[in-house]
Amino acid sequence: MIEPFVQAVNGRHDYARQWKARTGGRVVGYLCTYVPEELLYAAGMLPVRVLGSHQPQDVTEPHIFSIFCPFCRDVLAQGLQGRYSYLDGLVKARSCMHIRNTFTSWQKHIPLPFSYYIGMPAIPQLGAARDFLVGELGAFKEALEGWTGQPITEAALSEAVEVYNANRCLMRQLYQTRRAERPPISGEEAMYVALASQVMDKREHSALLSDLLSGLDSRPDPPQPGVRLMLVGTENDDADLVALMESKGGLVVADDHCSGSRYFWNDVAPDGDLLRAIATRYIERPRCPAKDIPQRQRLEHVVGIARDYDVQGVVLLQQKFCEPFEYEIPPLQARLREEGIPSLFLEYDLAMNVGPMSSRIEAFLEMIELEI
Amino acid sequence: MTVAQYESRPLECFQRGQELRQEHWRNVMSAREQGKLLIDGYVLFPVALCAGLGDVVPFGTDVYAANVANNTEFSIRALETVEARGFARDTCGYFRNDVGSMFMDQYLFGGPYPRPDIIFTPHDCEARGRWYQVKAEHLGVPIFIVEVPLADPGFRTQARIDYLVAQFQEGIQWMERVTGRKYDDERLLQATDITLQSQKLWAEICLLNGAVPAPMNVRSKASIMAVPLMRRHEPVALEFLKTLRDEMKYRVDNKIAAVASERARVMTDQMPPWYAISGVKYTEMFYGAVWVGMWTYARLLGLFQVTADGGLEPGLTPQERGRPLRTREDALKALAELVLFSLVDMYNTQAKIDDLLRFARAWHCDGVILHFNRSCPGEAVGLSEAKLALKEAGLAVGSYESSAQDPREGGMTEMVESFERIMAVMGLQKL
Ligand code: SF4
Ligand code: SF4
Repeated sequence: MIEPFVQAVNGRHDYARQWKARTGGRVVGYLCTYVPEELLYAAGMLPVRVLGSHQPQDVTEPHIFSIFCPFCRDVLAQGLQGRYSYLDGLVKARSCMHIRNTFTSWQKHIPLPFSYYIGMPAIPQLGAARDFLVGELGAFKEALEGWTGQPITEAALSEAVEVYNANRCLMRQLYQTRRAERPPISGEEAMYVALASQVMDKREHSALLSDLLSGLDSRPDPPQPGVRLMLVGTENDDADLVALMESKGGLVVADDHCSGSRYFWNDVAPDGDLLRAIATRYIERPRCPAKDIPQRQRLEHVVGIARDYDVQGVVLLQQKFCEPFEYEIPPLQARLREEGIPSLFLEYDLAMNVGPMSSRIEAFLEMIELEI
Repeated sequence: MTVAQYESRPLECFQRGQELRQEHWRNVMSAREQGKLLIDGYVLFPVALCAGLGDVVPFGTDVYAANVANNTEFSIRALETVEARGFARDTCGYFRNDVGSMFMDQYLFGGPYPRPDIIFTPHDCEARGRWYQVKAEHLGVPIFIVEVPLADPGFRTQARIDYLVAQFQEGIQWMERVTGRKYDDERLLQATDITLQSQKLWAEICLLNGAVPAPMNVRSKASIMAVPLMRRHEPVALEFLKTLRDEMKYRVDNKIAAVASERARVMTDQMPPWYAISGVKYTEMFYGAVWVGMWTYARLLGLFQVTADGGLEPGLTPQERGRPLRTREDALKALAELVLFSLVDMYNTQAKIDDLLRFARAWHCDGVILHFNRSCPGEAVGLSEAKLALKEAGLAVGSYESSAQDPREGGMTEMVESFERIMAVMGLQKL
């Protein structure tokens, strides 16, 4: 059932090349899920998220200081190694400075026909943020039109919004099934489905996902029950790590990651002015840890998910040196303690083998089992 | 080799700079008694914005954190306190020193940690907003954070200025609400005018150091710059900067050097750690390699403009460009431009490279020493690329790593070794 999604993720470069050959369209990489993909899609392009390769590398040292996170270095490494040679463009929206290093080094050393930085507000809570983002989206739209020589029509944008909303809705339905006492899908599988949506044409992904959803109830081999876990952090596309947790008696039932639930949490609500509606969606999206100031709004969001999904333990997964998340960990742990939800803090480097984390995960799961 | 010997003597206004600095720390402690509002936030964000509330004292937080880091015993206690509360050791070193002092409720200069009345700060690097969020939560102080809208230089500049102005307007309404004070535009206009003049003077002072021999070195500059950093909206700072500028001019005209044996010149991107100050002195004494400038503090604090031939000169204030400051909007726009043309370029790789090259030329540098500071991810943005680009541009470039705000990570010997290597790259033998 999950195989097509696994294939799409593991074979994402082939998928993008084939899509390009098939449609004649342009493929645009993006480095942060605050990039409003709807505009790219409306321009007839395939937006693909640059995910981690999870492989050791030695090519970024001259370009990025070692105190920046391994994810941003892994992404640049893949660019420098030519794995994304099929990209026609690269887009970044403001998130954190670590990945901005990647973006600027990519621009400098891997020339592309098109690259663009969107000033996604760093503080969406600000009253002035929405208007500013509407202006930024307008400029981005113009830049895309200038690149292709074709206008992005209202009809195309409206259709893109529909396609994206439909996919988000299906993803939410899939996640909802995990609230059940016996979820029909494992955390590892759900991660593949979510990641596939970030590298596939949304229409094709939605078709596969609809099929998956219709067959889930009658699935002959649902995952074994386990300690109900939630993953919280920034970017996480490490299916091996989830598989490790699940092989030790856990079952990941929820997450708060930009590669997971934050990606499809809310829809664009069209209200006449489509750019404003798109801006509103990104402003109101559950915050990334890099944008949760001055009031902390994430803590209640995380606790809310944990309650809804009957979570028994939360794993705080931090890419080494990930500043945005580092400043959140102590208050988040304290808030979870107040709720009586145990948490495990795991600092990790996505290019390293996940094996060494095994004993800590096991101990955490045992501790929860003893308490249940 | 014959080494030129210049006349050298300490800056005459140095002592006055120290007095003003110490007075500032006393003002922080006694702000409330004096009926002044204590404003916490990034020291390089124009405090003039808060001046409309009446008499204000900026906390000078970053300079305070640097002072904490310079006191090994106090700093270690502060760092351990923060870490015991779960904050990682690789978070911003300034954050850990300042917030550690707050958690201990100990002010480095005596007494309990001063409680600010409000926090009004920008968010530029990843640490900044989070740092003050932690303070606001712990101290129960109202907080407003302004986003610095990062972009490539020249990209949608007007939209970014408008965005900053809109946020400043939002911030003023917020200040009135949380302090119960009426915002006085006249005071804003006055403080803005002084800020602009101070920053222009700082640019002049920095550029005067392009003279050979350099009239001031980085060590003196580091001690003196606390005044423009923390008090640049005050008439007393303006007066001091005028005196300093005049003294610099006199020294240039009369070839009075910071270092008598100057024979080579280096610049750095950012402040060396305090424990390396003797290493800086070492290159000056034994190699005649004078540290003539620090890019960050020139760039962030100075009002510069780029000349037609790509050089640098003190920038024109809005008034000098025919835009008098008459209304709140005029002042807010002027301050937005200051923020945009300094902070934004800090985090832009190409802007950083271009600007480092401009300063290297303006200061007639033979070499550039880049400081890879593990305590400050913010300033490290684009630094590796800058190193490659400066080398490509034909400059002698050296670098060293430190954790400048964490005295537990010392490493003075390694640092001196790095400096020795850089001297060799520059082809310098010991005097
Ligand atoms: S948010 Fe964290 S993990 Fe993501 S790029 Fe930034 S530092 Fe790296
Ligand atoms: S610029 Fe550096 S020292 Fe300053 S707040 Fe950011 S990380 Fe900390």
